[in-house]
Amino acid sequence: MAEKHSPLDQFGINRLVEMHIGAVDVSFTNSAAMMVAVVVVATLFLTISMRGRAMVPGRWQSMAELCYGLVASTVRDNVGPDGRRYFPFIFTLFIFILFSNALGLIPYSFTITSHIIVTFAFAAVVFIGTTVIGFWRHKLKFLSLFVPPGVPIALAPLLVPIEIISYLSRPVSLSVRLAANMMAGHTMIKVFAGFVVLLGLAGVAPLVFIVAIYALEVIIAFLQAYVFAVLTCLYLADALHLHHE
Amino acid sequence: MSDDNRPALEELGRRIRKVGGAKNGSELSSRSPRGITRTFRLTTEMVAALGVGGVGGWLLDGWFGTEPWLLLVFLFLGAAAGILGAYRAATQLMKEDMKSN
Amino acid sequence: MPQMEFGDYLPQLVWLVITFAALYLLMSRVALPRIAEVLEGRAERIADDIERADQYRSEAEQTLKEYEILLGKAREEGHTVSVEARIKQQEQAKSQSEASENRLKEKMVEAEVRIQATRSEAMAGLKDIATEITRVSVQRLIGITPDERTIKVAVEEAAGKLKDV
Repeated sequence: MAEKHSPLDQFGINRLVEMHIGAVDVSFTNSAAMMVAVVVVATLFLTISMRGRAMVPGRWQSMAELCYGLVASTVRDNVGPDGRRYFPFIFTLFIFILFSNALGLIPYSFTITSHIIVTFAFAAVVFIGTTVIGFWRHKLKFLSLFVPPGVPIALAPLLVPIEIISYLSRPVSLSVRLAANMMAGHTMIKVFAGFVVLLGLAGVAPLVFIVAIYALEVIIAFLQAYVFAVLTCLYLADALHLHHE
Repeated sequence: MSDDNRPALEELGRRIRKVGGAKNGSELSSRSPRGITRTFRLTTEMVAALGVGGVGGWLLDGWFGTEPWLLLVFLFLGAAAGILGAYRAATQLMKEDMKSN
Repeated sequence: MPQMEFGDYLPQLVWLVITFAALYLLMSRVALPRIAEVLEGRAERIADDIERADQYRSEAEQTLKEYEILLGKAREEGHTVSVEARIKQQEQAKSQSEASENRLKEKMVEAEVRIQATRSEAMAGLKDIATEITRVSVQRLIGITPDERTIKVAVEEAAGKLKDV
């Protein structure tokens, strides 16, 4: 199994501890191990860095405060003051994705967010959550989200299905974007790593390329987590305020 | 001597007002990488809309036994949704550009 | 493609729910309140400091104003003092020159008196000498010793005549 040497091997799920509850497979996999690592590292980072509660923050405390400030301002700017109660969830989402992406960049580790099922689970929670919030707050008026304002009634039969499709495509684009970005970068690095071995001395060229991609991947790891948070905020804003552009 | 102190005090007052006013504005939001998030959104959203349209049409075809018509209609609607999304993002971007200029 | 192994979906989802819930609890209960506390504390402190700075600034302005008023007053006072001093000086100089003038006058009077005294003294001496000379010369001329009183009268007469000249 390990002898296949496909660039996609790194995404394989390995059951470290086989577990079943009834018919349900709850095995502890390498993915689950990384999830636990994400929780531990993120919590340690955000608590130990703030341990000093310094007035003038050090490097680690600044980074923790920066994460907080980034998500807080994203929620404030995109959702408004009534987005405050959803801030802990959006912050957790951002941190979970950020650390999943970042820890996945460590060689021989595993990228949780390269699996569409994981990103789709996030996207589905956001999608279902914002839809429920929208209906809960506006009742049936929430359906006006699918009727763009200032459009002649004759065009409605055409535009309403288009709006519904674009609404339904939100979780798809949200999850596919994240998983595809994570997968593409990692696969590319693996492919070029194969070239390095194949080309011997001339392998310096792909090696330089790998370093460049790696740097890019670090930025993308952050940006994708940020994009996920921003879009979550935008969808939440739609649910809370309907059309308010 | 008082001629030196008067402008220094006024300068101090200006600086205090400036610092005091800055804390009310959101300095972070203007620096956040918004433009880049837009470019990430556009392509994926168009493909996703097309995909959702196609899959939706295919499912409906299965239910109603109308292959392949609903698939074609919904692929078209999906493409339209993707283009509409791109159009909205572009107008939004232009509006923000105008605002910042 | 490992992402399409549907059998792997369930264990991933189960652990995702567990770990995400754990992270949510840790963030909302521990990490976020702590960061919020620090940020709020700092914002408060900064606002306080700015307020205090503004207060100090207005105090400094007040002090400067008072200082300027005091300075103006002091300048005025200084001017008055210097004017007064000049007047006093002038008065003093005047009185001094008057005093010396008076003294000079006194001395002049004194000198005049002295001159008068010396003169009358000299005059008296002159009369004595004149009397003597008259007596001797009369004696030599006419061989008679004239009467002292007569001589004196004569001299007196001559002197009176001389005085008139």
